[in-house]
Amino acid sequence: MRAHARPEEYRHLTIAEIESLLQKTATGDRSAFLELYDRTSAKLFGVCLRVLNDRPEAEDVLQDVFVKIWRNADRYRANGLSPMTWLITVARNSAIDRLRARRAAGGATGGDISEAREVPDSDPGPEARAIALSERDRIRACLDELESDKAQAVRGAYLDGLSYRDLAERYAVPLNTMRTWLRRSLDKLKECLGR
Amino acid sequence: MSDAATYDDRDDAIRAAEYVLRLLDTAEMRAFEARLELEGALRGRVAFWEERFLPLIAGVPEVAPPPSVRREIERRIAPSPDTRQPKGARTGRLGRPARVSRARGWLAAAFVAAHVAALIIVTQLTPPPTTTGPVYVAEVQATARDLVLNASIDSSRSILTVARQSGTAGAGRDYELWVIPADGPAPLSLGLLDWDGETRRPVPQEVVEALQGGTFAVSDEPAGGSPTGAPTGEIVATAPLTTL
Repeated sequence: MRAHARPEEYRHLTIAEIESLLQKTATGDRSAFLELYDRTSAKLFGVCLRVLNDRPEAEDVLQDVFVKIWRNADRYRANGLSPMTWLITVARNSAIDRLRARRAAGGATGGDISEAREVPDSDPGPEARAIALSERDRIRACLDELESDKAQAVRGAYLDGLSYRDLAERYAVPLNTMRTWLRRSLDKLKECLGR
Repeated sequence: MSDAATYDDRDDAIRAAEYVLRLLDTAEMRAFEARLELEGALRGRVAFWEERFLPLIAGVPEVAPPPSVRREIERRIAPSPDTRQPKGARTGRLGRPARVSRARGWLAAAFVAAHVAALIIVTQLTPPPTTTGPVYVAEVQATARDLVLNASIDSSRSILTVARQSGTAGAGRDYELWVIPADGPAPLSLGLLDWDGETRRPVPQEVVEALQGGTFAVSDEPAGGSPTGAPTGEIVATAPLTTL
């Protein structure tokens, strides 16, 4: 068993392969689970690092993420998500929960919207590219149709776990105004994404 | 503000987006997740947003985690000596407690016999600030029955709080609530689910003492509750009691 994934491995993991590893994991197959870890942990660690911007915390969250995957592998199908989406969603949600707990405890806020970091596009490889390219362009194109501060607020919520309250503070608007703003923006986004 | 006032009527699609963005508060999120377990169309809306937003984060550079992370995960998923059992037997997201009791055997048998598919989720509630002892929570849903409820028991005040979100027993039937102790065969009744919305009621000391490692269950009984003092009808849902 490899100690950890080489960065390029996730690129060559097909949806069918992840799905098969998840199915085996759901039946308690530890070696399938560890292979899943070896082949996806670098991507999920990248996600945790992006949200938390703190290495020890990201390592800690990554552990929790894979323990959750081990325990809930039998559930992902019910969500109707593609397997990689599910894995990344578990990682992002766990990282955001940690970030919020840190903020609630009065720690460093992180994720300052004034320096909201755009996620660079690493080359997803030929298989992933075929699936991902149009989708990727679409969300970006649709965000571009929003006013820039509103697009930035949506990104801040998604990537930096900013709550309505955080966003209201950052943009110095009342909480209800921020809710209205964002809901209208989501309405527009939905219309654009469904086009 | 009119937008806020009319929000309750707004499209589920927007709420699903707020859920994906983690913008809902704890109570809203809990209610939404309860609906998610029951409504396939709503899961579809969440999947729509998850898939569409994903490209914003999926492009992050890969970073190999240190080997210590893998070792720690292996340690955490290692079977402990007395929990070796097929993984498929697990019923809750949190896995089983280390001790497998006779009560759980009883429960599993009732569960299988009834052919009930119950989805169980355990949520984190914020404990009331006055609480000093542990608060046990369980959230149960019986897919086939449209039954969704949240239960919490404050052990320091011996108060059970139950909020029914949906589901009623059939004509001439009542739902009865139980705590199944970790190491005793006899389930303890918490009374009937005979109200709508949220209620609070005191629970006896023997129930409080049974909460640690216990299981919360709902059974379908004749009107007025079990005639024998133990569940007689179908177990429609169960959930492990977990501390906050």
